[in-house]
Amino acid sequence: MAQSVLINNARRASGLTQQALSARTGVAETAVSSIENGRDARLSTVERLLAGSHHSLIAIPSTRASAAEIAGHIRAAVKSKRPAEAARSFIQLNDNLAAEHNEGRYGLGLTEPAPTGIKHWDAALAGLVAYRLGEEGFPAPTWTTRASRKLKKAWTFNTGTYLTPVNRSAVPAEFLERGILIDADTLRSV
Amino acid sequence: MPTRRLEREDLIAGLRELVERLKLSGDSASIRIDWLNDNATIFIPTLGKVPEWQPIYDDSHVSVWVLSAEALLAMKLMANRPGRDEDDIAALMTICGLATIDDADTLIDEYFPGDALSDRGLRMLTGILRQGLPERSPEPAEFRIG
Repeated sequence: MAQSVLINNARRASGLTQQALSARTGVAETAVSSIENGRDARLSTVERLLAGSHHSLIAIPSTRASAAEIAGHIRAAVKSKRPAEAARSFIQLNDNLAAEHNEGRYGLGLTEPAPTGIKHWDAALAGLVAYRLGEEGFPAPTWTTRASRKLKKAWTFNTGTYLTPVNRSAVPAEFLERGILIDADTLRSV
Repeated sequence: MPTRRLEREDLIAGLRELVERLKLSGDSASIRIDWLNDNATIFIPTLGKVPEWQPIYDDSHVSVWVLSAEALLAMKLMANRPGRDEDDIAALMTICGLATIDDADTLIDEYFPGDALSDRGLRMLTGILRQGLPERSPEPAEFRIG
């Protein structure tokens, strides 16, 4: 995962502004900003910024993109108004999680993704991680249970062009309780 | 952070890389290819019309074949995963010159005799046709993968 994503996600998850993180760590605010925007930083600086956000580095036994990384792709797709690309990225995360087992799967869902800019994607990501981790007998990570990850009005998964109504009885509970209507078959690889 | 869309060029680049790896390994069984999913095999027609496989690459070590658009459409119609297969079904309907639910049913019957569009598939196709099929994309240019 890119340094910028790691630090941005950790800081947001801890509810800190760049200014507050700078004050805690002694890393200049301009440096925090530029690192979050992709500038390479020394590992010691990354560790300091993560520690200031109550996080630490671990190595996950997987090279597939995690929920936090995929959320970044979705955020970029949302920003450039490409809903089909956002949907494809979501399905990619589904396939990544399904391909991993045990700690590899848990690792991909561990880090809280930063908001994507669209509430239904934030809820769908939480539903997907809770669903796929539940399959392996893992509890849902805390971030997936936040109120901000639940929709008040249900949303049907679609790519932005066509929308097929989904039968609620075919929707896994982890999605249904977050207001995301997605057929379990949609998560199958064919 | 990568933000590129998955395009035809990505697929071709992926195939090139795969062919290269297969050539280097000399043993296809040693390569883990998890994007070729066993779950898909239940949708590959076995009883009806024999699906046409078209070679797009072939040398003495590696060959790459793709299913015809008709067979792909029949499989997609059978899978009909909401939110996932609509765009492909719409594009393939245009490519195959099909425009109605009857056309789709006839195609399914050719490849999967005795099967028909499920209720969900019917709901999906009705929605697609109501909204309209896309225009046909230009024929792709020739490409080399090995």
